[in-house]
Formats: sequence, C-alpha cells, structure tokens
Amino acid sequence: MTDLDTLLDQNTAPTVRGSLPARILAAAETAQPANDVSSRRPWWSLGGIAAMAIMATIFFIQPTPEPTTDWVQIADGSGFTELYEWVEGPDEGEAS
Amino acid sequence: MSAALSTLMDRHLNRIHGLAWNMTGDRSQAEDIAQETFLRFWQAAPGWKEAGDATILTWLRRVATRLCIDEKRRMRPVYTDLVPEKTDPAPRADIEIVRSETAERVQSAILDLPERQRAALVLSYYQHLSQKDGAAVMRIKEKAFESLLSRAKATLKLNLLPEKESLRQ
Repeated sequence: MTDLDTLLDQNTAPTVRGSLPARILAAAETAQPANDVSSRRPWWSLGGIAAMAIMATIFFIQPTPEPTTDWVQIADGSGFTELYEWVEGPDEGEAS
Repeated sequence: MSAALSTLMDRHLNRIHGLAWNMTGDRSQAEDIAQETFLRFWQAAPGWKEAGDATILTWLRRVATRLCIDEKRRMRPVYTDLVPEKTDPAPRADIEIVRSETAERVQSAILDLPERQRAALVLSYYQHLSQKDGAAVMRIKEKAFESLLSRAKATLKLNLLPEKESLRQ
C-alpha cells in the first residue's frame, strides 16, 4: 500500500442517515414513472399535429398548373391566323 | 414497486451515497444526489426488468457520477419538503464522526481535482472498480480512464505528499 493509499483510506464516507431511505420512498410515491402507461399521451391528443401534417402534405403534392399556351399569338406569328380562326372560331351556322 | 425499490436501496444506497459524498464532500448534497439517482432509476424501472444487478449498479453509479459532475444539476429541487420531519434515529453527524485533520486535508485535495479526474479517483479508490468498470461508468475508453486516474494521483501526491515528492525530484 502506498502513502497515498494510506491517506485516501482515512477519508471514509459517513454512513447513510436512517431517514434517507424513507425520504426516497416517499418521493418515489409522488414521482410518475417516465414510461408508465398512464403517463403516456392518448393518441387523439396528437390529432391536431396529424391534421396539420395531412394538410401540409396535400398542399405540397398538388401539381402546379402549367402555363396556358397562347395559341392565338402562335398562330398569328406563324401565319396561320385564318386556319386557327377556322378551327377554333365559332361555326358559321352559329354566327348567323 | 416500493418493495423492489427498498430492496435496491438495501443493496446499493450505501455505495451510491458514498460515491456522492466522495465527489461532493457534502453530506446533504450527497443525500440529495443519492435520492435523485434512485428516483431516476425508479422512473426508468419498467425498462429494467431484465437487467442484472451488476448492470443496475453500473447505471446507478453512472447517474450519480453524472449528477455530481454536472454543476447545473446540483441546483435541482430538494425533496425534503415532501416528507414530514422525523427524528433521525442515526446519531448526529457532528457526534458520529470526528474527522481527523488528515481526512479533512485529503477530502479537500480530492475536491480540488478537476471533476472528471475526481470521478475516476473516487470510482477507483472508494468504489473499488477496475479500470474497465470505471471506464464503463464514465462511458469513456479504458485508456482515457487510466489517464484521468494517473493525473489525479499525481496531483494528489503533489498536494498531500509534498515533502516526499520534493525529495524524489
């Protein structure tokens, strides 16, 4: 045994006071076990969060509408104005 | 459940209280840390059904060491209000222990050590743990534990055995 061991041996911890176990037991009675079934949240308490998640999902998965093509301008630019009006325009019977 | 907790305290309370006392040097603080340690175990108890006694003791030591090291947790709530004051059957501290001057000097030197070195020393000397088990409690590698212990011993030798150390140099 070294000199240091001899010195360290003299520094003994005091004994536990008699009231400590009772104190711990009393505190344990009021403490809720962390993973006790009764302390868990019911599933429906998370309903608000679930609803928000579903709404966010629906919002983000909606396809973005493609920009509408302006076929009138294309037809004009390519010299097919008359053809476009003939195809898309009102029928002659309807106009009269 | 309280019977299980009582049994557990019968087995381990002395060791955990001793560890906390060696780490803090304060009896009331050591009792609070021991209480907090066992309460934490009780709160986690349903998950410990299959754990062996050695595993439980390692866990208790780890929590107690962590609580001692963590300064913030030293300011945790004190539970004494929950229990009505009773006459303590144990002898009063001042009557029970007349600590020698040497013991006071040793405790003071231990308290002056950096916390992790102090923990390694307490686990090794006062809890009689091997380097492997001490390292497991502190969740560090054996080499790191050995290094902490070695530095703690060197510092203590310098502070407690200055005459002999100076003769060796």
